Amino acid sequence: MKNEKRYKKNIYAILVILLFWQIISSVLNKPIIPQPSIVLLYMIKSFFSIIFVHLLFSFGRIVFGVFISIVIGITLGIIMGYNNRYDDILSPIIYFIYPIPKVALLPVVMLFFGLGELSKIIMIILIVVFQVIVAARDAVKNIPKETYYSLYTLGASKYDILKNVLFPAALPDILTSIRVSTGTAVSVLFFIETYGTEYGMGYFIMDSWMRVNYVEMYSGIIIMGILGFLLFLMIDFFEKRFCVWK
Amino acid sequence: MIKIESLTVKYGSFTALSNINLEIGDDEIYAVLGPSGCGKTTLIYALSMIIKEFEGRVLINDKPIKNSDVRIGTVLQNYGLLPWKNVYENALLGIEIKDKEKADKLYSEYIIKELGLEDLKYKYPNSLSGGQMQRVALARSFILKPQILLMDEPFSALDAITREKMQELFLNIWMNNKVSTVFVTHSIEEAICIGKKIVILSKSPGRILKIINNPLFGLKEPRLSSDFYNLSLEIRKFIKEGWSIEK
Repeated sequence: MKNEKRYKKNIYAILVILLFWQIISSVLNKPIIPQPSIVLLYMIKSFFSIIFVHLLFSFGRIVFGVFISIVIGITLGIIMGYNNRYDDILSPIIYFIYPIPKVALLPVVMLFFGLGELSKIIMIILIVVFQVIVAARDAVKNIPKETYYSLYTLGASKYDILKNVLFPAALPDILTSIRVSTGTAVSVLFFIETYGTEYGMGYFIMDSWMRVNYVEMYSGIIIMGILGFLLFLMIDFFEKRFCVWK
Repeated sequence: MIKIESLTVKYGSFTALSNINLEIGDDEIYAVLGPSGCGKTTLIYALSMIIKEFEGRVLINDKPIKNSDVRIGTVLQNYGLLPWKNVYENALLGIEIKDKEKADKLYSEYIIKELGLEDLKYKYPNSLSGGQMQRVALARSFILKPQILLMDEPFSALDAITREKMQELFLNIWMNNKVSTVFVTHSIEEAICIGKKIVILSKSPGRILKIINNPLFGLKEPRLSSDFYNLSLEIRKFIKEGWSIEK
């Protein structure tokens, strides 16, 4: 019932956007804003033949980058949250790098890791990983001491504590941090896909713009939005699946 | 059996517990009664090896405690439940960590049923009341089949009626599964209802002022006995003197 209502709302929102688009394009009547029906038709027609491969590349880069970020972020975050000694050493370093706009690091990353896939994925990791580290660390730090006590008295091993306390306690906050950073990751993805590649939604949009193919360009922009939407849905799904207790 | 020999616990220069000597038999519950901040919780922590640095000795069946060898059941003030595990998983957590294998299903089902948790099995702690969480913590301890049971003001957060019900429930299960138990409380009535012996601690640093043999232990309805009133009066009088001495 609730879901049905939400779907209805979403469809309603999309219809409103399309309507506005239609009005503006009719009023201006210039090729720079093509009619939505033409763009949608093109999108559907050429989805598998042209767009799909670009979408796949973008999706793969994001998912792979986020995955690596989670692995690094959970490991470092939990270590730092659990052991103050490591926190004291690592926190200043993270606080220093964290606020630097990651796009500013692009030239450095390109110089070190070349123009290929590696530098693109490293850029995504740089955006996502710090938020995951800080979220995991703070979540672990916020676990009350007493939560560990009943496990200590049972002679629980470090692995038991990790599996039963640290990991489940950090997971919801990690998912939230990913939700926050994925938006940034998608926008930077566009930027980094404009060099050194012929695949990806960023390339697709820039390329169609250069060829003055506005219909193609708009369909690329829409697909990019759908890509972000899908990523958020995935995060929601994981949260529902693994954080039932919330 | 728990044997405590001249146990003294210090936090830096602050002495929390001073020279505690107790011997708790296999079928005994010692109710430890003391004012707030007298070191009751410290006693539980020392017995469960959460605090490892203390003077004196704590022996279980004549051997020093090692968490890996001894089965210690604890019911702490905040219940110690993990919010991400449902009632059933929480109840079985103790034994699964201890034995690294699946629990004795029949026995755990029996304890869960005894504690009236059957219908709550798949609920998570954030949807339980205080009394229900307390029952889950009790279930976890009993399913573990502990050699010693340590309880730190387990019922203090419950309302009076729930509290009496829980005391009764606890004693019922305990009678069928007897184990050396230290039950810390600040309520005189609770000490009389639960303890076979009642240990009265002094104000901080906690020393043993008196150990009382509780003649009402094991009675069905101790509160209805006239001795209940007399004993609680006696303890109250003693406490008035004992807890004010060190002003």
